[in-house]
Amino acid sequence: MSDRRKVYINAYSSMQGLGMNVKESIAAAARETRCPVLPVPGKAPDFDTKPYFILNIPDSGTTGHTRCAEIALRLLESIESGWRGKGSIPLFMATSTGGIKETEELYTGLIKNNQKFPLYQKHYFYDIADTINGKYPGLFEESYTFSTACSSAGHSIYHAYKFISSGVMDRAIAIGVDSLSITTKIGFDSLKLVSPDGTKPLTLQRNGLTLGEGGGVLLLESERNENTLGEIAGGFSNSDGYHVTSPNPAGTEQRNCMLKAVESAGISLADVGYVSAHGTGTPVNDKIEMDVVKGLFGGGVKVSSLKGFIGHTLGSSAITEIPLVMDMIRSGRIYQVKGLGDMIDPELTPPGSFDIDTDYFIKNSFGFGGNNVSIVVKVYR
Amino acid sequence: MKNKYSQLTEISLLNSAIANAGDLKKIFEDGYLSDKSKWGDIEITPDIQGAFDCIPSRIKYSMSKLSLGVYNVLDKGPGKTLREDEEVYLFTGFAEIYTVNQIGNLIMIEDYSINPAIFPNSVNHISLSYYTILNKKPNYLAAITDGLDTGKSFINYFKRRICLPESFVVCAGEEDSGFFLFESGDRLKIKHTYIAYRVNPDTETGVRYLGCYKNADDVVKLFAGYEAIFTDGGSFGEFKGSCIDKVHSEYPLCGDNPSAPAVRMALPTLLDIKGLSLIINKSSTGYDIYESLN
Repeated sequence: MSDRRKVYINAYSSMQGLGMNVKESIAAAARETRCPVLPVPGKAPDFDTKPYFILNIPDSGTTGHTRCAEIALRLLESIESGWRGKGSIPLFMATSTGGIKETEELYTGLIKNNQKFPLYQKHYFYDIADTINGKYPGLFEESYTFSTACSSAGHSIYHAYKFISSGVMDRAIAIGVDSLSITTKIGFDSLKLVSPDGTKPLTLQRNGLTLGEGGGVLLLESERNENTLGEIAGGFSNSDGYHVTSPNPAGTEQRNCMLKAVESAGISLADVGYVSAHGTGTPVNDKIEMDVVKGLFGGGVKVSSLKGFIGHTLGSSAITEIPLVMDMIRSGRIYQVKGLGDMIDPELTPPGSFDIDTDYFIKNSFGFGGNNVSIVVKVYR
Repeated sequence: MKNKYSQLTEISLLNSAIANAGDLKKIFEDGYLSDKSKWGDIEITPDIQGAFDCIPSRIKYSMSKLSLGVYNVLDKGPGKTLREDEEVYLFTGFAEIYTVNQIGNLIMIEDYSINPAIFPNSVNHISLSYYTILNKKPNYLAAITDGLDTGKSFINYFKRRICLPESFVVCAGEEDSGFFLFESGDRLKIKHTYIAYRVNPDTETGVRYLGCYKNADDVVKLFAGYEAIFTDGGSFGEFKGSCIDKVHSEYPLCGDNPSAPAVRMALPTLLDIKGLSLIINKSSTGYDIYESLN
């Protein structure tokens, strides 16, 4: 590790159902209740639970670009003082479904005969980079969109970390966004993964996930400055090689992923005081992740999932949650939703909010196909 | 930026017209890549011959054309010698668009119901996951997908990634979909062509990045020292006039595939062009130039 450069987190932001920025979100989390529940806009299927939306983001009809692009623009704006004036910066984007909401509208537009062409420009991710480059010409010409379902943002962070730490580039912006859509709602429902009464991650009463909308951004640089908030200290990613939708019950590769991420940071397992679990609230996923964490760390670590607050923000989940966790660790307290249920392992996950005293945490994200990413973050307190 | 070459090995290129390097060589020698009047003569259908043969599971019947293509090029290419620590990247412009279109039709036009098997097949990296699942591999894998700009992403990513010492595996490909039939004007010509290869950085021969040139005249000045020029379909006419005998394009094999530069990058090696070749990719930022030495 000695020949690797440090990768400093010099700015961050997050927006999700709890708030439009980290400060607002943490203030809401301190109330220990879920984010506000809103109805699904547009053509909504008859579901029992409603997903968690970002408030105050207008739909594409009013902005002229996709909802994901709008979220991405706002995230970049929120840390603009950190990257402005530093020339062209590589952009490591992540999304699982970005733009699918507008693709859905495209189908209804075809039926109603009011669709604008060409279609492929409105399909998927193309609009995010296009919108960003439209607003900031020449600044983000080098961009990559990583898309590996729910682990997407883990990859965008991992790659930015890898290139900066090895000296291939000096700075990068990692950004992840996902908006909600009928497709994802129906898709997860078809797999019987959606909770009928709201997600209760890491509890014995868990019965599925709740979808959330979110986005997060990290400005990563090789040089520390007066605004530095922490470091991406390490990371690792691998595959279960087991099943399309289910993680390997043995947890072998999830364990390897976390362990090698810690090793890549040049620290020991004992240095890690907190694991921000992928923790979607599905019966199988949470059990396996908790078993792996227990097997690896014993009782020497605390674990919780922010998805009780903001739902599962899919491809953006890792980068949406990291800024919130960093802020909580700096304040010395991890918030949890009150009254979610009895924890799977109360030794690792105390019921309710709890105090925390650590410099390092792991952020896990696991996607379809057994795609695992673990990122080790050092928090400057 | 390091100035060493990176060698591309275990290259597998497949479509309905190409089953092995010999088929490609014949297409090249018969002038199909260098004579625009012949570009329409190569018909690429969605099916690769024997695509199911190497997949040891009935899952193959639920895999998309993209997943089948990616599985096959990995299996016949770098997959055979894949080390556990090697990273595998898929570059694709509109990954799994066939399945997404199916879902879009079912949900938005039909009756909201979808088969639980369909949804996971719509995620962009699933073709690589099928390979790791069916072969019980723990490898790193990721899809990088930027719509029409995927070729630019590939070109940029490649030049960054070869600065790291570890070998890695590139896969690329596209699939056609009913989605594109909805288009009113110029419909994208998507071809079911797939490629995979291992990239070994820091070698004495192979490919290396020369730089990004802002105008075509500066690019043409480079031509004299090169045996062959491989360029995108859009720039083909631009350069053909300057150097009639040397200029080739993968366009008849890849059409408008956004990931076509990943195929172009491998052509000089795959065709065993002796000496130096140029690989050109035109994008919004200029002409990115790679050099190939065999």
